[in-house]
Formats: sequence, C-alpha cells, structure tokens
Amino acid sequence: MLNNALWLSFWGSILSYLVCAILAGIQAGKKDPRMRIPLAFLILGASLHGLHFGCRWMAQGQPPMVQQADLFVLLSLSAVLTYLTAGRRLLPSSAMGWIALMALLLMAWQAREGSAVKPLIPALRSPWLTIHVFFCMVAYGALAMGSFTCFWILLRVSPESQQQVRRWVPFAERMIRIGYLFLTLGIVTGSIWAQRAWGRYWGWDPKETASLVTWIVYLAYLHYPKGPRSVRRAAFLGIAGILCVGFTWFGVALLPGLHSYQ
Amino acid sequence: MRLLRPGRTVALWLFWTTAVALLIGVFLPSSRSISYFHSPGLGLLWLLVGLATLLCFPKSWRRHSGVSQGLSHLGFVLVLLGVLVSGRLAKRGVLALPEGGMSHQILLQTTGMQENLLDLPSSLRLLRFEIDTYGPPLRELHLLHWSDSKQRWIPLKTVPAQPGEILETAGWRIRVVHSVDMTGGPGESLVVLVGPKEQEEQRVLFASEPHDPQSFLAQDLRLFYSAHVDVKAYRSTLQVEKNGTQGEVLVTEVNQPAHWEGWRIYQESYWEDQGRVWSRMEFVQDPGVGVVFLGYLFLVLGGLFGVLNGGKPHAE
Repeated sequence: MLNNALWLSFWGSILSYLVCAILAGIQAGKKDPRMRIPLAFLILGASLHGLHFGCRWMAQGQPPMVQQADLFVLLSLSAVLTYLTAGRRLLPSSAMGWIALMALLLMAWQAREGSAVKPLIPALRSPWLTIHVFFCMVAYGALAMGSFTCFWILLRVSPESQQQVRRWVPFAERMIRIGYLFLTLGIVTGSIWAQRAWGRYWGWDPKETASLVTWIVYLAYLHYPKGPRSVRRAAFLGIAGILCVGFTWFGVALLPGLHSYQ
Repeated sequence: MRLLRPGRTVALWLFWTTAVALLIGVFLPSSRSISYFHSPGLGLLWLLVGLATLLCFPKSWRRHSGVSQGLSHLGFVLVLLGVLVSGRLAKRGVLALPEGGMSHQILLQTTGMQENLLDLPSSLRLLRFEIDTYGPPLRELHLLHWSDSKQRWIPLKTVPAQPGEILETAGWRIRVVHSVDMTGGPGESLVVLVGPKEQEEQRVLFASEPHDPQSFLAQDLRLFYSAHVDVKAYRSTLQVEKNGTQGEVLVTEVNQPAHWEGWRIYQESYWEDQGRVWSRMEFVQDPGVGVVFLGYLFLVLGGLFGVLNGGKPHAE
C-alpha cells in the first residue's frame, strides 16, 4: 500500500511538473497571462510532491532529511510552494515553466540515487534534525526564489522594462528577507544542536563555515541600496548568494567534516 | 556622485573581507583550519566587524525599520561577545575510561594545543558502557581481486556469510560452514575452500580492514569477511565517588549530556582495546554559551521584524 503510494506520488508529481513545464513553454507570450492549465498541473504536482514526502517519512520511519535525494524532495517542494504562495502574482508567467522544470529535475534525482535507507547515526537521532533541516530547506527555497528574481532583473534592466523591474525589486528583497530569516534560524538551530551533541556551538566545520559565508553574502545584499543605478549590482549580489548556497550544499559535501554523513 | 555612502562602503568591504577570509578556511585541511580560524588576524577582523556593527547601531535604531536592524545588530554584537567569553573562559577536557575504571582528573585541552590535568570535585567510575544497535550485525563474505591499474583490491563477488552460501571464481569454490557472533561484535566465519587442484582446506576468517584483506587464496585473489553493525546509540553510566562513599549516578549519551557540578559531560566516542571497551567523554564549562544564545535570539527577532515590517529595500 505504502509502496504503491510512494510510486504513484513520485511519478504523478514528475508527470505533472513535466506537463506544466511543456504547457508553460508553449503558452509563454500568449493571451492567457495567468496560465490556468499549467498552474493547475503545478498545483497537482505540488500536492503529489507533498504526499510523496509524507510517504517517504512513513516508509523510512525517520525524518527523510539526511540523504541527498530526500533533501532534494524537500527543497524542490519548498521552492514550488514559495512560488505558488508568493511568487506567482509578481513574477512573469513564463517563470512557472522554469520552476516546474527545476522541481522535475530535483525530484528525478532520487530515481538515480535509489531508495535504500541508511539508519540514522547516533548524532543524528535528535528532534533538532527535523527542525534544523526544515528551516534550512525553507530558507533555500525562499532564497532560490529571491535570487531567481534577481536573475530576471538582470535580464530585463533596460529603459523599456523599468516598470516591471520596479515591481520585482521589492519582491526579491522580500523573498531574500524571508530566506535570510530562515537561514538564520537554520544556522542557530544547528548551533544549538551542536552544543547539545558535542558541547560546542561552533566547530568551524566546512559546511558551517560555508553557510556563514552564505549568510554574510545575503547580509551584504540586504545592506546594498536598490535604487535605479544600483539595482544591477544588487542583483549580482543576490545571484552570488544562491551560488554560495549551491557551494554549501554540493561543494562542501566533497570535503571531510561533521556534515559528511551521506 | 557616489553610489554608496561612506559608512555603507566600509560595511560592504568588511562583508567581503570576512566572506573571503572564511572561504579560504573552508579549503584548508582540517588539521590547519582550526588554528587558521583562531588566528589573531581573523580575530582582528571579527573585532573590526563588531566595532562597525556597534557604530551603526544608534543610526540604525533611528531609521524607519530601526527595530529590525537594531535587534539584528545587537544580536550580532552579543554573539561576537559570547564567542570572546568562550574563547577566554571556557574549559574543555576529556576523560577516557574502560568499564570499571575510575579517575578524578580530566585532560584539559587549550587552544594552544597544550594539555594539562585538571582535578574534578570527585572521582568518577565508569559503571557500564552500553551500545544499542539497529539489529544484528550484517555479515558478508567478499571475493576481492587486485587491480594493478587502480592499485587496490576490487570486489568481485559478495555473499551473506551464512551456512551453505557458495562463492565460485577462477577454479576456487568457497563454502560457508558457519559464522559465529561474539557478544554483538563482528565475530568470525568458518569457510571451506576448495582450490583449483581440488585440495580442500578449512579456514577461520576474522573481520579485517577492507583495504588490507588478510585471508588470501592466490596472489591476486583474496577472501574478505566483514561484519557491519549499525549503531543506534551509546551511553556511559558513571558513578560519583568521594572519600570511599558512593554519590549520584550520571548517564551521558550522544545528544543527552549529563550535568554535574557545573560541568556538562558529553559522550564522545568509544573503542575496543584487548577485549575492553573504552568510553571517551568530553567535559565542558563554557560561560559564553548563554551570551551567544541570547545574541541568537536577538538576531532571529531582528530577522522576524525585518519580514513583518515589509522590508523595504535601502534607498541610494
């Protein structure tokens, strides 16, 4: 029963995202700016995606928050939900296709990794695991949305598109502020957990340090002015932030440290 | 006309310098990174960042979004202050005991890599050390082949180390007779080898390191027995003893430290040596933790106010 639900929710969400991405690509620039049909598929995909995450939790008997594939499932869900709740009204309609494509690729990653579950090592057997990873994933989802908007701003900084850019700058700022709050919560909860597990709130582990660098880069973004003359440089900072997130996740995984469980 | 005001330019330069300095540390080998992060140069940088944040504090408090920025700045300064207190006043030491062993001293660690012994208020005896596992050990028999090109042993075939299982390769036939479990440990496996010339031989295999398989069949063919157990939790039960009288019993486990006489006792690791299990515990007294956590609270509150206030972008 559970295996069937896992299988159906996985392939159902992948298929929904695929249809959404294709339809959004076809409809881009056409009359219906709300893209109702692709949106329906995106919502269907997100619902099945959420169901799949719940099924993984039940199947594993532990929070699915340790293996790379599990984290991709959570991250992509976070990004899609952020788009549906906050980004859809402000971002251009063609962004929907890119979001669906990103979710599709991240979900598909677990097919490559397989579904073997490793039991949690003693240090990870703590309620802080769920709290810490949850905050980090929500942060990454919101930061991805904010940096994605910065990328959009960079593409459209021209005199004729100033109207649109003026709407996106506050949106990117808001998304990054939300992401920054959750990133702070992620770092803080990780630090409290480290204090409880190892007796030190900071150990200069590569992942800890890289997440601190990410935090500083987004802090620089938040301190940077975003007037007409500086919006381009600020957008570069927003993109540098998401590159730091990527480095914290993938680059640091190659280095030895307290976070090299996978 | 300048794009940025002087104060903001300084702040952004400090952000970049700190980010780059930290990034360098990420790529250093772990043996060098700790001394790098505790170096006077980085300390000076953090001091500058702290001073700049303090100088910004009154100005940020007066702005429209002052509560958010003020709380964040205050939180950040408190975190740096807490780290300074930890660096100066924290005590950290280790105690390794075998089951039944007792000590009244811990080996104190200092950042200068010097080690001193420190007396504890009472003696501590390790009453017992327990390991919880997710299940019985997973025992396997592997056939390994030496690869000249990769200069290491490559797995050819693997079977569960259970009676009746058979491995066959290059004229060799290996049959598992039985596997023995030794009190939850790796145990041993008895196998019958039948060689290419039909010679038969019994051999007992013990778990060894995968990079150095001990049991060989031929020059480039080896048999390797592994027993893997997934550890769920481990804990030490300590008895406090003073002047021959027994005091309280302390239990420390990973993620569940014990509290005793102002010390927090953390279960760190364990190992086996000549049939005895040793438990390594870390003793910590850190008055900076409270200040750092208070700083965290202000940082989070500042971030929360930043989101709730609407968080308008800075003007030029």
